[in-house]
Amino acid sequence: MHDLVSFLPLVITCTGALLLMLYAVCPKAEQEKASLMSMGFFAVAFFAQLLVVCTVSRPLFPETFNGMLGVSGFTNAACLIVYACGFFTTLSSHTYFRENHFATVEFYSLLLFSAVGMVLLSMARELITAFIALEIMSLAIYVLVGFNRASSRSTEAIFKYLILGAFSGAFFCMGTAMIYGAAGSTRFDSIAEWLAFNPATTPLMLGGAFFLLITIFFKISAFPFHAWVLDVYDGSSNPITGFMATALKTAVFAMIANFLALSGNLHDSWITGLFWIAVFTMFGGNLIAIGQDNVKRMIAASGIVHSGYLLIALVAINSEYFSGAVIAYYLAAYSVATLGMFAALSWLGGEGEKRVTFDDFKGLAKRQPLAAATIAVFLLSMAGIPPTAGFMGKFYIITSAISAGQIALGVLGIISSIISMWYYLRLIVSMYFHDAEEDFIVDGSSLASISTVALAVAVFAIGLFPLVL
Amino acid sequence: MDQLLLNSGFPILSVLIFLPMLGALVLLLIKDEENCRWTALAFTTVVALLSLTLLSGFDSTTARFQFVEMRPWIEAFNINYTVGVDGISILLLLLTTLIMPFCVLVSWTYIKKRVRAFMICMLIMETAMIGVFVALDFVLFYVMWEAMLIPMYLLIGIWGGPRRIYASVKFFLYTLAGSVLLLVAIIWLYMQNGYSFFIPDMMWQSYSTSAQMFLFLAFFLAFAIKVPMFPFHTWLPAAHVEAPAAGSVILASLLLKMGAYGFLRFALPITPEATAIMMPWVLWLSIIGIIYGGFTALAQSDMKKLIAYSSVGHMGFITLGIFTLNLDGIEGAVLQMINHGVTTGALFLCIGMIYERTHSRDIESATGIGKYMPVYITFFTFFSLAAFAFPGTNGFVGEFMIIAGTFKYSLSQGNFPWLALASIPGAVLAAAYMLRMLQRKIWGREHNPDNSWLKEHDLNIREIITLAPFLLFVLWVGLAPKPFLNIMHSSVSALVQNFATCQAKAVAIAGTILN
Amino acid sequence: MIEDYLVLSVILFCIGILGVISRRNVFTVLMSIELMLNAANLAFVAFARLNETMDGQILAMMVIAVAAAEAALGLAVIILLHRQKGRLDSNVFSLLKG
Repeated sequence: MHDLVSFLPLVITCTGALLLMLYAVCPKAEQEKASLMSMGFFAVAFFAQLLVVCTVSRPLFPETFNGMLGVSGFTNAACLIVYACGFFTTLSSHTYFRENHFATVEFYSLLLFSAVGMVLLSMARELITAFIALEIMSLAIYVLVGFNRASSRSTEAIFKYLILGAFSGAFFCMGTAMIYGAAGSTRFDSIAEWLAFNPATTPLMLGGAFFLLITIFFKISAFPFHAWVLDVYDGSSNPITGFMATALKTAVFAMIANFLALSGNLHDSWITGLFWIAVFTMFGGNLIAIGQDNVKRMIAASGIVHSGYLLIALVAINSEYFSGAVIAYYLAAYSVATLGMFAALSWLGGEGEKRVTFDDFKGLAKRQPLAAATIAVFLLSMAGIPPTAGFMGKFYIITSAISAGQIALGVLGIISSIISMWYYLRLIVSMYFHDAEEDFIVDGSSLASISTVALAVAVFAIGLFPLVL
Repeated sequence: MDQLLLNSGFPILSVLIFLPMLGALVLLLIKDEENCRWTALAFTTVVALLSLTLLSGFDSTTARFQFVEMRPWIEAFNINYTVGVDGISILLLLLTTLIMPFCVLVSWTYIKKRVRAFMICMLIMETAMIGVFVALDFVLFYVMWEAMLIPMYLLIGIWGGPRRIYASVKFFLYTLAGSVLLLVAIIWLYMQNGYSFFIPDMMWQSYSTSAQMFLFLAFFLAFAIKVPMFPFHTWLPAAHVEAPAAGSVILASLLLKMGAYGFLRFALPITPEATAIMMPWVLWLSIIGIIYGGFTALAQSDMKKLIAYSSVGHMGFITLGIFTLNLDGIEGAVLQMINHGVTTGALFLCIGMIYERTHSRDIESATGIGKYMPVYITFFTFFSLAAFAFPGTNGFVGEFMIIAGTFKYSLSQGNFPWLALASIPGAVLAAAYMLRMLQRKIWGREHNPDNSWLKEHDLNIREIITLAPFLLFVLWVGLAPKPFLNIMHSSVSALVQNFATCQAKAVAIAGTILN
Repeated sequence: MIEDYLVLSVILFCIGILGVISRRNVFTVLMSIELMLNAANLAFVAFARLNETMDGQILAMMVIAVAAAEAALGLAVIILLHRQKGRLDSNVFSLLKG
């Protein structure tokens, strides 16, 4: 019974997804109503989760469903982020589909389903549960990426993503099999027990963890598995790109942080590898982002860089007293800014996403000062300029890296964030320092501006009052 | 906690920090441009007047931090919102609050597009600058220090001259790059000091020499770029030339002071040993800056560029004074920080006023205007004289003290005073470039451009009100610098004394190791 | 005995990887991925036998179910691709550059 209470938000989301699926059959179904409904479900799930967080001061049941799932402060935070991402994605979809007409009711149902997968993934305490959650999430996301069936860009994006996703999923499966072979169980606690008495460097364990990490690196677009991200983000619709960049990353990072934190042995054997992957991810991402002319691709590439920062936090994980607060905070800060960015893009992108390059945003500050100001806030937060949430996130990550003795990684992280200023500033320069060439008339619903402003306020609110910690 | 003194229950510093912020929010609601100007002026003036009340409560006999406020901010990391002023920062705080209203005044007609956004930028800028000078928590300091960049970046980028985008991006990236290591240094100090970001706790600790060297390097990179010291100065002329008049004033009068303030507040007290080791290098870098700035200024035909390079020279004097590490030198440097803020600010205002009329910053196009704009040229002459330290002006007092401090330093080391001698050509160069500009502007040459139309356009009453207080200050400090020196005296002498004790301790420890 | 199963599983997995990397036809690529998943299944079952627990067998069932879902989606996308491009080589990717 108590198990169910802590899963109440998940149940709500799942029910919402199923109800919307049923609603889609209804002859009078309208996608606009569906979007409002899914907004409602996300909001209710968010507040239910908040209620669970607030009322249950200490997680009553760290292990539920026979150790298959676990609830902790960290997973709660991750779930909150996922629900919030879902809510704001629906908000921006609501605007986006006023000018782009390919949404159906199922779109929102799939969004809820993928959120279910994400929440399960972040709670997973067992590798096969994680695999199934990963697939629930991924299958729904695949369809969402390719939702615009008329566009061949979108079809190519889904196909590329599907093939690579399934490919990496097979690695996850094989990795699980190897760990199962080594430790005799796929449950995190049993693996940790096994690791306490055996070295982590047995071929099966090491190979299994290696395969798992390949999948994870693919999903979070870390070096050297980052190449797909530009095309897939570019090919999918703006709200979905935002959802993928934030909620999906949150869930995957929650899962891998839980996994790596389960045993110091395992973490130690990966620390050097993670170090270099973090470095290459940051700098490789920066190099790619500098070369982009398209705002969406630039944000996609900057997402790679942010994965790099999160990898720094993974390197600095201390399995003795792991709280994940740093990772959760950074994910929240990053999600708010990125979602805001995509909400603004959905709002301003226009029909068929015609405004996508840096040049398309020239003079935005004159025509739409509010939109330009919010975009500037999001960009500065991503760049980590105080007093935004992004700065605090980066600050915590650097602090955790230095307290874990990784001073070099901290310095490299800051250097990378300064390089990243280069492309964030480019967009600000376009928006503010150039004269307008067009009038930016958009048929946005009033919800769009509200959501961007709300997210911009959240950037400062999270930055100045970091409650997650 | 003995460094703290609470002599007022009223949170005056917080009010000073957040009042401009409130002003920016109020401006969001105002549509009319004229009202925007008046609101911004009202807020900056109120802040200026409020800041003056600090003086009455300020106890200049102690080196402790005063008007301290301490509130928990982010408890998980033990970050507090701690503010307070001592004898050094109160002067810079007053400089900031007092200069801002004039920046608003000078932009009255200069800024024609997007007035509201401009004023909002100015007010946010003021919040951040006050925050930097009063922060006693390192995270708060860093937040304010970086937050300052954005409004300044926008000021240059939106309202600047033709190459504003290049200048603004260069300014932004340069100064941001400077603080790379600063953040790491801050976090390292936090770990070392029992997980506290409280700045006074970090001072005068005995960190190992190698750690101090690393910290000093981090501080030096951040502050030397901001000052800017010689090899790091290239962002300054670009930013100055392209910035609007008010932007130039803020840049020259206030932003540059942050670097010097950083040296005084952090580099000296936190890393005394490393400072002692690096001192000769920094001193010679300062000398190079003085000479280099002087020669480059001599070659400029753009008035703004000329003043920008002269700033490099003047800031060289200030770092020279700071790193002599004796009472005269540091007091002179702090006084010169204020002086430079006032005179260079005033010079930029003057050039802005001319630019508004002729739309050119070239000396050639302003030759011979002395005949037509007598009021203007009178002001300009006084400020120029102050800029090259003519006796009787404020510049003289500051520069004299710095050079005296440099002499003392050399003599105390038992050396021939090469340093002080080397700085003299800098002072002569300053006279050369300033007089060159002054001569052109007053009398001009054989073929002056026809500027007779300016006869009708001498300074108006708003501009005179803007410049008069600067002139008053130039003469006041020039003739009676005592009150200013009194305010900072205890803080500076405590700094020097602590530094000497720390040195003695280090020498003693080194001695025991050798024995 | 158990080694033989594992070696077979690894060989199948490697053939799958090679297929995904080297084949141009999207059908073959999809089938190669199925091969990889089945290699994992074989390993699961073999380890279940080794450890004498039922977990592995159950896990293999789960993986089969997921693989079926993935294949269904993959075929749907292939049909869509075929409609748009008229051919099924990997060369069909022309609009998005890596």
